[in-house]
Amino acid sequence: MLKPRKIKIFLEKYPDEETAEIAFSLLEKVAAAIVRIIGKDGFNALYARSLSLTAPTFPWLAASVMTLQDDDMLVLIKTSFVVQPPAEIRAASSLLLTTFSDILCRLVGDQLTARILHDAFGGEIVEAIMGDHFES
Amino acid sequence: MMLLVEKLWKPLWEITLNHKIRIRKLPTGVPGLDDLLGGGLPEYSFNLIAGCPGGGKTTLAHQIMFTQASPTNRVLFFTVLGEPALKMLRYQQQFSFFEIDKVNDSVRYVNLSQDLLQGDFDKVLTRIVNEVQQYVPGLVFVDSFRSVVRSGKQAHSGLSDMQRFLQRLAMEMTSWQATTFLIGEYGATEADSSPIFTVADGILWLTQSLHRDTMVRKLQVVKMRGQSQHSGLHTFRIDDDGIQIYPRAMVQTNTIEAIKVPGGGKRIAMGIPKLDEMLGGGLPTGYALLVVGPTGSGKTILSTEFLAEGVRRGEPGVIAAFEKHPSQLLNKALYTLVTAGQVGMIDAHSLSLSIDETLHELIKAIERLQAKRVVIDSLSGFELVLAPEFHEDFRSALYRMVAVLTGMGVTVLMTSELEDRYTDLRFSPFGSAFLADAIIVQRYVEMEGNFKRVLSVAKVRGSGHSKEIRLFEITDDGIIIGQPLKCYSGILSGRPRFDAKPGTPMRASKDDPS
Repeated sequence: MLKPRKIKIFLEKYPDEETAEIAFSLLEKVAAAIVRIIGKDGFNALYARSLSLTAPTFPWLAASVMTLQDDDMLVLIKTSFVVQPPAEIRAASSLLLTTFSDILCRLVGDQLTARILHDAFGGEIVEAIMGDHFES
Repeated sequence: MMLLVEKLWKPLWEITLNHKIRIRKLPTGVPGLDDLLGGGLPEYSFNLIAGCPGGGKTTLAHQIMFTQASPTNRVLFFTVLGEPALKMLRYQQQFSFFEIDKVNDSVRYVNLSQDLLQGDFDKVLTRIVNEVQQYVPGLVFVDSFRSVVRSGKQAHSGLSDMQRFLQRLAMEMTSWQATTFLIGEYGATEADSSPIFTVADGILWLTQSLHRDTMVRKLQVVKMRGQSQHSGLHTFRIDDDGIQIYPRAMVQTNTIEAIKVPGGGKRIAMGIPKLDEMLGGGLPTGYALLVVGPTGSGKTILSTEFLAEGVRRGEPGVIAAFEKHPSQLLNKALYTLVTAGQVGMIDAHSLSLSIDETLHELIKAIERLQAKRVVIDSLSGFELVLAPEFHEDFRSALYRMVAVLTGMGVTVLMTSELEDRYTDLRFSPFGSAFLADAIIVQRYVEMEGNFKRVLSVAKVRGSGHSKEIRLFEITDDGIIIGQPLKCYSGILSGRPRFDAKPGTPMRASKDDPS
């Protein structure tokens, strides 16, 4: 579905000082689309699992995992992003988004996940990180 | 000037008064449901889909939703605190009606759980109305509405708050011209107390009942304002294609009476020499014939001859075989007819539901083949494959089924196994002889130290017929009817007494004169 490499390439198009903001906006877009459909609790459950699976590769994400029940999980990650070097943010956010979409795929299928993410990102971002045919 | 105004005004006045609003009926996409509703769902109606957990409410809602959803008729599906939305999406997409391409295009899911946290009805209503204003849907679903109610109760909202919320919701949705469905788990006892049952224009009630080891699902259209719905409970199944309803067969007496004019109308050939003569010149078209006899007496062979004769005369047939599985098909002749596609066969073993489902399958096959002859082999086997719940109702359901089939103009042959008792004369173990227009009885008798088969025509409604009891044999060429046993009495006791002059032939043969 989502490929870490494509997300990284997309993020590399932006200046280093904007990396945290852009990476966070991708997560926000996904969150908004998912919360609308399955509710905040549903999103939080999926997001927490994604963080857990990503944290072994990027231990600094573990801080977010510790506060799973927090309504401001996304804000927490934004804070974490800010203090990381741009390359680390690109790699971590790519893996986090990919993990999230993979979990969603396994639960509701490729097709439905592709539709949801397509609408979440919209226009240019879809083309950049998903491609025309929503590679799975 | 005044006259001119009157002339202009009057036609307009008349037009306004003479044109009643015609409510559009929306197809549900649920086979059988539109008929029950009286033609479909009234547009802009405010409906409740209620029932027990696992009853199929969410599936019914999704089936209707995906049928109706299009870019010009969008749908909003609000999920609340019932089944988690993620799981709902996971399971619902297993059904063939779930079109993923419509999601976020003409179908939008919106989760209301955050809005319900405080149990504030006003907040929930505001959110729903805002979403409706933005998306302008043609249909709105709230699943589960029961969660909204419970949430309100937890926040100490009273019954009057609930009633006010419902009335406002119904009014808002009607104003926005949205056909609305509230989905909720309700028990039969709540139907009297909850305001939703008063406010709703339509109520679809889904139940499932366990009887011994079988579970039967039923749907009832409790209420549907503005149109004439079919009352009563109707069985339904849920399979890969979603819900399929089998409306309870209704007898249209006028049609049946029109066909069954005593002594009039066309007759059809049975395919067995001499049997047509015994029936008074063949079996009247549209009649239900019951063939009763003990096991091995030749009922299925007679049925096969009946179907084969139909094929020869360009009258296709359909058989619902309850005695054996299609893989061990009855006899070679029937197997040939079925595999050649000349006779349709209902795999009755897979049904295990209701007579109405069998009727549905039969009607489909009759329409597909333009069949004129139907065989039900046998009533004894039929009762066995029915869910136990339907056993009590077997006679009346069978009556309705036969009436519908004969009302379509097809001629029905039913077989019924009847143990030879020799002490009494019965025509059916189910007391179902009353629904037959004609009856042929087969029995075993003991003669010359052998079992012999005899048959007789016991009844042909509105027609003269033979009263003779005749010997018959089953040969490779089919059933051969022999002579009448005129010189015997006590035949039905199983041990005929020869009370005429000796030398009267008893053997059945093709060449025997009748």
